[in-house]
Amino acid sequence: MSDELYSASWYRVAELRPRLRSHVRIHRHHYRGERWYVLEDRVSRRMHRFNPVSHYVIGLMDGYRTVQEIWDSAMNRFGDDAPTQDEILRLLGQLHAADVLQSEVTPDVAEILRRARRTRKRTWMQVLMSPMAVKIPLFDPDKGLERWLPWYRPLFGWGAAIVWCLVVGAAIFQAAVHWPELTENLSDRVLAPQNLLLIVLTFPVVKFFHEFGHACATKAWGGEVHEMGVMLLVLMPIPYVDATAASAFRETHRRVVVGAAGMLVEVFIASIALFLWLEAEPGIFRAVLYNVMLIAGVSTVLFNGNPLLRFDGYYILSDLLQIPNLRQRGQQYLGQVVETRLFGVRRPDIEATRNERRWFIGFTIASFIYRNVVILAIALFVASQYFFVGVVLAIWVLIGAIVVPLAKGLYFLVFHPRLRRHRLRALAISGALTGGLAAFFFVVPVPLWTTAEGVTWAPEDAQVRARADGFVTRVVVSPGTHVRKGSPLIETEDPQLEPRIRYLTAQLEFLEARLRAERMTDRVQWEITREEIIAVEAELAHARRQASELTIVSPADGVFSLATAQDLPDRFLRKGQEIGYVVPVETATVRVLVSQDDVDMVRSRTEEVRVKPASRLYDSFEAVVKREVPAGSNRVPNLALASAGGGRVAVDPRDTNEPRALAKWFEFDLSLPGTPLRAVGERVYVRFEHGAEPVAWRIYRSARQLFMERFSV
Amino acid sequence: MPALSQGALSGPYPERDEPRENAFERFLVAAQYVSGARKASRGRLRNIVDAVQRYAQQADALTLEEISSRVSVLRPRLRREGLTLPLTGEVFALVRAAAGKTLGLRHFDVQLLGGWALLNGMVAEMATGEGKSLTATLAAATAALGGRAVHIITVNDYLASRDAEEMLPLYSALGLTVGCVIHGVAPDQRRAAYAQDVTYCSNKELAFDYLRDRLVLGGKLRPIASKIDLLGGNDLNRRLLLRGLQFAIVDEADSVLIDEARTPLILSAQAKQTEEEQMYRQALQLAQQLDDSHFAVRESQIELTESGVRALEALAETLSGVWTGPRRREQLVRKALTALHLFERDKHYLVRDGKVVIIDEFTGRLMPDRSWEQGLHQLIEIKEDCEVTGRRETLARISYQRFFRRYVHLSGMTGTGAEVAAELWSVYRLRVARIPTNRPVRRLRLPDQIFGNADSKWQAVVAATERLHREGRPVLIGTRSVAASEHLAMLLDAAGLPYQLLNARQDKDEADIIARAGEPGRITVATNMAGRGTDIKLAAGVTETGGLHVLSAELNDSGRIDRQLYGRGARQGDRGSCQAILAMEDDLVATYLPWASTWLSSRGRIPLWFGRLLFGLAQRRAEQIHSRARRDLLEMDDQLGDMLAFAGRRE
Repeated sequence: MSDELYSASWYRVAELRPRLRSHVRIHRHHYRGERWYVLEDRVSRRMHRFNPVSHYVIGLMDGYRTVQEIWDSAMNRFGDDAPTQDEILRLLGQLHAADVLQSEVTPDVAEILRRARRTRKRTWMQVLMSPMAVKIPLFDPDKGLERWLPWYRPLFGWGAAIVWCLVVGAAIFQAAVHWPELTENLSDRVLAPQNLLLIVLTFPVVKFFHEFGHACATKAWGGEVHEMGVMLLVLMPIPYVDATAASAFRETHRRVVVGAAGMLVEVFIASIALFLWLEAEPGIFRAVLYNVMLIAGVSTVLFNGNPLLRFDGYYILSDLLQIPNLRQRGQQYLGQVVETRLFGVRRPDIEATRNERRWFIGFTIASFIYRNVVILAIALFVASQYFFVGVVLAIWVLIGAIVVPLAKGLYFLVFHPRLRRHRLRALAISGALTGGLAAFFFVVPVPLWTTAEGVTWAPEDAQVRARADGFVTRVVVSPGTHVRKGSPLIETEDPQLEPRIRYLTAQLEFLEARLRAERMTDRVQWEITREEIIAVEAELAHARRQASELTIVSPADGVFSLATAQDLPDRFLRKGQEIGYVVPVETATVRVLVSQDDVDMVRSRTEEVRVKPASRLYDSFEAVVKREVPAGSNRVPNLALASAGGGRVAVDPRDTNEPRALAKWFEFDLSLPGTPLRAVGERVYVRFEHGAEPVAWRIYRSARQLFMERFSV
Repeated sequence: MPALSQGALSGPYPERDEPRENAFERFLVAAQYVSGARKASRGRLRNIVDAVQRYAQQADALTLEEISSRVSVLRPRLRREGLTLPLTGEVFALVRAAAGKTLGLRHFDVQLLGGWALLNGMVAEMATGEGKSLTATLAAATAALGGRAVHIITVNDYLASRDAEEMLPLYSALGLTVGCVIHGVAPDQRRAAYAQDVTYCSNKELAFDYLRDRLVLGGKLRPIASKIDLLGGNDLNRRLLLRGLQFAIVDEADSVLIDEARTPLILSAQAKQTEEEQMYRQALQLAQQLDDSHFAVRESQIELTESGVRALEALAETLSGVWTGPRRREQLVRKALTALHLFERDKHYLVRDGKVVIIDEFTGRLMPDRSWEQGLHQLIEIKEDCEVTGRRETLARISYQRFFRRYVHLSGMTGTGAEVAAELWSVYRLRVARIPTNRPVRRLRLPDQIFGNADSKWQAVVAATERLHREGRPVLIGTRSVAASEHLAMLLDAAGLPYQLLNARQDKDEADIIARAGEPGRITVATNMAGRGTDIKLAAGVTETGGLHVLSAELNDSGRIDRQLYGRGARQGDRGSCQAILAMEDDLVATYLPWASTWLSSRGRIPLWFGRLLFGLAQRRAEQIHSRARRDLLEMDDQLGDMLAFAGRRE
């Protein structure tokens, strides 16, 4: 339809005397500073937004004026801005399609029946296309809400708001104070089986209150709530309520509050639960409270509050922005941009201000990406939870969310009349984009690597150990300098050893003197003394050796490395204790842990290995694999690699004696020729380079791995 | 093949609800077509020949009175049992016998096939001159005897009245009455004509009468209510013209059902005179002040350029009223520019007796009752300094597509149906049955000549004409537009050749001119579709010289129409020849392959294979565009109907 003032079909309606049906209410709203009229259909619970010109026309539909008279009057009033006949026809058609138009003529029944059939079909298609969100309406809560109105009406006022702020504020404070207790072993606690059951039981209850929040807020300000039911969200039953009546509220803040009411209720519940939790004795009640907090606090903020999915957050955002139908219009706008800018189609612009357009673009793209990520995640989750049914469901979800829209897009490209004369260009551009994307995925090699963490590792013979018990007196060689094998590194002293040597020496002298004296006199005693001398001599030799061992010497040629040189003086060292290393100059060694997922790639396709020490992230060194352990093990060579030490390896929390990894990891020893390491036990980041490979193969590999892992197939 | 069921015809004013298909159903229909529905098996059609043969001797032996009494015996059986094969066979045999006795014409076997195809709701594709009018009598008589109100729909009034008159003795012999509705007949007479067993009428008259009926029925009454009224016998019966849409035989089915499908039929009344004339005059004045830089033609629509918008704003500064706002101002001026630059005199319309008369795009015929919509007509009237008629107010409108889809039983005849078989099937559920010719075709196709520029072409046309004229052969030259035919006439004048010109401007004696076009050495210049349905009978001695030579000076958007033109010659086994002499500057190429037209328009003769390729391409493209436009129209009609459902059922 064009800009044409007159319409060829005008004769069909010119003499009609239409009027709106009686259940329709019109509300005057302001959106982004502009006046709009919202037509509320109280039977079908749908809203329709009209601009002032349309509203003027609608306002004239009183059942007495003919359409011709209405149009004439609009022409007189608006002149050039008056709607064309086609626009009036469309407006009437729109009103008819919304079932709010009435006139003295019986409408075409066949069309109404067709439309009803179509609507029914569409509802079914919606269920079919999104099996993860099926709505089942259950009852009409309006009467009950009406009866209880006096009880909750005061909750939507300043007093209640202040109380809410105080309670929630206090709860946040308490939560901050008790943060460690709250978050300790969070994942363990949440995912423990008996707790999952508790969550499943608590969740609907909390959400029930949430929905009543919406319902009461709507009722409190005069809206009607006629539908409540259960939505199967990822097969989990969640109550829902139809609060569309709120869209008719004139005041933006009221609409926002209705949207936020659910969350407000939940956060309040979470706060109360927190106070009780702090007081409660450990037991089932406390666990329930904990879950209530978790659901009502965390899930609400992460889930409902997120505007990118079509939950509360979205409605709040769209109300705050005063852009109704943000999502739908955003998609339309983006479609229009693609059509006009890329395909060169000339079509009328969607009515939107500049700022609105920005929001459309930003929001649509963000929510598109987010939504698809969530859908993928859900599909994956479902697939992994229930094997056969899960895979079927996941495929179903993916078809509904990805295949069908793609097919629709293709259908649009190939068949839609609007692309006529632009089809070649549209196909070429879409083809080029798809081709480019495909090329990127399938052809363009992208560097591929595996990252892992390791620690610098000294060979066994490079460790500097105390050879005897003693206190450190002096570090002879400063760390970092080259030493030769046998050269003294650290001197220690044993305060008991010196006197003992002196004592033993003296005793020896004494015994020797006695021996000399007894030689002539007492043959038997002489023999005894001689034995004693031998014993003391041995003891003395031992002490002397000990004394010599107090000087710690280098076990090898290399660079002396000492973790804490300044702490050493006067420290007591037990025999055999590890103090530092003499690291061979030419090659340092790194021990790396590679996960099961990556080990195959690392073993079979490593072309180059690069290492970055944690202390010098700007440097990277080349390394070669020196040794690999063929079997995986749970051993964690160094606590730096464990999650507690900031590493990647999840450690079994039950075993506190020796860190044991939860999963099996594979050890690799790398040597770094020509690179001395400053410290041993330092964390290093290792990158195994596998050359380049198109992204698609990588995705394929990870998908296969995932399947093998998840489904053991 | 299913015989016609009685059920569909029950009740007063029978008509079919228009089918509404969703995409999937459309796909199924297409699949049906591909899977063989189009191949209306000739083998099964053949059955009728045997069935007729069974009664042939017996029927041929009867006198007219005996035939009539036999028919009256069969009549109730036909109503009761439907048009079954054996019954139809006997009726056909009787009709054939009666035709032999009354008209002196006996139906050939191929015509029996055609008649049976019609009764089975198909389009019978029969070559020109194979006696389609006679074929129609078989089906029409049988259906009428079976109680259907039969409409035989022709492309013009002349054919309707001629056929009605010619076939009257046959129908009378069978005890059937015949009516004929042509332009200018009073409503009472129309009602009487439609009340006859068989009614001959032109498509336009019929469709308008139907619209008038819809106005009577529609609006205040719903189908059931109106039927009760009809049964109750109140005055509604007396105000209706038709007896419903029961049984139609459409002659030249492709041109009515396909080519004219896009033309909306608009029943209108004169609206009260308003100040619009002044507005249109001003619009035209403003438009005349704009030059080429101010507007551009895109996809045959005028668009104002940036500078055009500014220039117009400046021009309109001093004006008031509708000229103050840019939207209506630009729209009006756009329309005025369209009237000035896109509509050409003698091509799209001509001026006759101070009136603008539209020339039908397809038939080249004048359409004196039609007018363009939405002010365009008024603008052109101002442009041509004619008296400005008031705006016409639409009362009802319908397109042929929608109209014919409402027939309970639709069938048709054409010379050229194969190309549009798919569309006939998808839109009307009509299958095309190819009926073999009675005698082999002896049409000689001479090699075409294709030129770059139009002048060379016209010279070649004149030269060819002159040569043939010398040989004493009659020549029929077909052109597309009135202007082209007149240009050629001028050239022929210059060459000193005698000719008869037949175009929209002088269509009074067209049947006469056409009838004489077969005389030796006669040159007839005609816009392509003029005088369709009239036979060109070869005068004595012409066959020896080679028969009629049909020369196409311009190809049409559709190859069918070219074939129809060629079909004027070499009929019923006569000798004849045909040839096309074309130029790249022709409208066809210029419109659909503009690059080829500009590239080659300065050349002389163009290699035939290359020229044919380009013309083929252009025609293909044109047909695609037209076919899509028809599909769109149908779809848009449906959508519009849905949108306006609140205004009641459409007409």
